[in-house]
Amino acid sequence: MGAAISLQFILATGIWIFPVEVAWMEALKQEELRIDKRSFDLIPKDIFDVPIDFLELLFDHLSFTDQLQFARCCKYLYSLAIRRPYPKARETPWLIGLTEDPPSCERIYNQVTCYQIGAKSFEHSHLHIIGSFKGWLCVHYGYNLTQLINILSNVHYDLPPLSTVKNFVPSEIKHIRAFGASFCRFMRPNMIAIVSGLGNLGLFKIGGSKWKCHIRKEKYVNLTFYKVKMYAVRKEFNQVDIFEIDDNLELSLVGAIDCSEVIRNSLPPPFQAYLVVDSKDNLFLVLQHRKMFGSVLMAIEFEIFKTRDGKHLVKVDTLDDQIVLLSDTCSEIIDFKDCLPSTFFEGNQICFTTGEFDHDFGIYSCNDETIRWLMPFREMYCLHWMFPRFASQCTCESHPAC
Amino acid sequence: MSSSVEAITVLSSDGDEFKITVSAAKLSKPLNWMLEDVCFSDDCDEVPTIEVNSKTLVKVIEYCEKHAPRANSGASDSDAEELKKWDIEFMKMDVKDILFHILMAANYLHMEGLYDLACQTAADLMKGMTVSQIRKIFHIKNDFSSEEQEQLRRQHPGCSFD
Repeated sequence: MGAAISLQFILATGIWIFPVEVAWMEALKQEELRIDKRSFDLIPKDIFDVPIDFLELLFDHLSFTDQLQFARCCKYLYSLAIRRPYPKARETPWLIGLTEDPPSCERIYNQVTCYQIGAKSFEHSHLHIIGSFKGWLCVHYGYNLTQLINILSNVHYDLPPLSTVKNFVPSEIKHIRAFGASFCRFMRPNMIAIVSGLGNLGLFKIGGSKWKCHIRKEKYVNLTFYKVKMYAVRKEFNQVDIFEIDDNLELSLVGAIDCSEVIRNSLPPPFQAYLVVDSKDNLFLVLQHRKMFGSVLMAIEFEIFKTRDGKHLVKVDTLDDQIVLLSDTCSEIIDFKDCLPSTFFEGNQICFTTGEFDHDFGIYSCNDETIRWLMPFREMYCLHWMFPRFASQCTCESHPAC
Repeated sequence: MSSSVEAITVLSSDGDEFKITVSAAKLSKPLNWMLEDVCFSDDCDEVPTIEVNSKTLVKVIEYCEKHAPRANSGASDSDAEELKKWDIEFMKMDVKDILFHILMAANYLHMEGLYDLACQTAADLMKGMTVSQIRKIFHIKNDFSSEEQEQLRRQHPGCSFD
C-alpha cells in the first residue's frame, strides 16, 4: 500500500513537474533573447500594453465626461472604468440646491451658472437633502422614503424611512444634525450614521432592513467614520467619543479624544464642530465660529485641529493643500490636485454653508483668513457642497445588486 | 561612491553613453541605489546599463536635470510656477512616438513626478475629445456591437459615440 501510494505520488509529481520545467526553460530562453537584443521590449505598442495602474490613474486624471468618452472606446476600457477601486474624477466642487417649483436639483458654478440635474429622483415634491458624501446624496422624500443616490453612476439604495427609527420622536428627524457614511473600496456605501435633532445616534447597514437607534446619556452634534470606527463629537464639544460597531450595529465605546483644552482656548460660542478625514488618513476637527447678525447666524472664523496619535488635537494653519466641504449635516475633504483648474477654488479652503436659512454660504481661505461670501440663491434650499464621484461595481455582500 | 564624483556615465539599452549629474540621478530610486552600489570613479570601467532607449533616456535626463535643484533644495513659488510651464513645454510630444516610452521609463526608474506628468499629459490630450478621436489617437479598435453602443448611449445620454 505504501509503495503504491509512493508510486502514485511520483507519477503525479512527475506529470506536474514536466510541463512546468519546460515552460520555465522556455521563459529563460526568451529572457536571454531579450537581454541579448537589449531591446527594452516592454515599450507598449498601444495603450493596452501600458500598466493597468497607469490606465486607472489616467481615468482619475479625467473629468467625468472625458472618463465616459474614454470608457466607451472599447470593452476593456469600459470594464476597467466601472470596476476600478477608489474611482475619482478631476472635477470642480459643486454647490447643489433644490428648487420647489418645479421640483429639481441644481448645481451652481461661479455664482452665476446653474445646471439642472436631470435625475428622475428629483422630480418628487417635499424633497430634502440630508447630506452629501463622496459623490452620494442622502435624500428624504416626505416621510415615506429615504434614498442614497449617486447621480453620476445612476444608482441608488433605498433606506427605511427615518420615521421608522424606533425611539426617535418625530421632531428629531425633521432636522438631522449630522450624516456620515462608510464606504467600500469601490466607493459604495456600507453603513450610514446620523445624529438626530436631539443628538441621538442612528445607524443603518446597507443591505439591512431597519435603522438601529442609540439613545445614550451623552448627546452628539457631528460624526464621521475613521479607521473602521465611528467618531462622534459630544454636544458640549469637550470630547470626541470613539465607537466600535459590531455586526448587529451595537456600539462599544473604545476611546475618546479630549477636546476640552482646545475649546477652552478657542473663541467663545456659538460654534459648530465638524470631523473630516482626508485621503492620507488624517482626522481633522474643524471649528466654525459663528455670530448673530440681526436674526441670521453667520460664519465668522474657522479653526482647524489635526489629531496626533489618535488622542491629541493640535492646531494647524493649513489643510495641506486640501479643500474642506462643510455643510451643516455633513463634511468631507478633497485634494486640490483632484480639482479641475479654476480661478474659484484653490488649496487650503473651506467651502461652507451655514444655518437653517440656506442663504449663508461662502469660501474661507486658510491662507489669508478671509471669507468670500457667495451670491445668495434665495429660491433654493438644502444647499450642500459636494464633490462628484462615480461609484464602481462591487460584488461584496453589502452590494449584491451592483 | 566617492563624494568627489559630480556626474556619472550610464548606457542606454541601445548602447549609447550618457552623462547625468549625481543630483539629477537621485530623482530615480534605482539610479540612487546604483550610486551606492556601483563604482563610478575614474579608475573603474564598469558602466551600468539603463534599460531605456537613447531617445527616451535623453528626455528623462533632461527632466531630471531640470527638476533636481528643486527636489534637492526646495524652491520658491515662482520657481515652482516656472517649472510647471517648463513641464508643459517638455511634454509637447507625439503620443505614439515617445509619450508611452517616457511613461514606461518613469515607471521603470520609479520617478513618481515624471509618471504623474506623463499621465496628466495623456489626460490633457483627451480633454473634450469624442470617442472616435480618442480611438484614433490611441489606436483603439471598437469592439462594441451596435446594440451595446445603443445601450451605453441610453445609460449616459450626455455622451456621444461620434
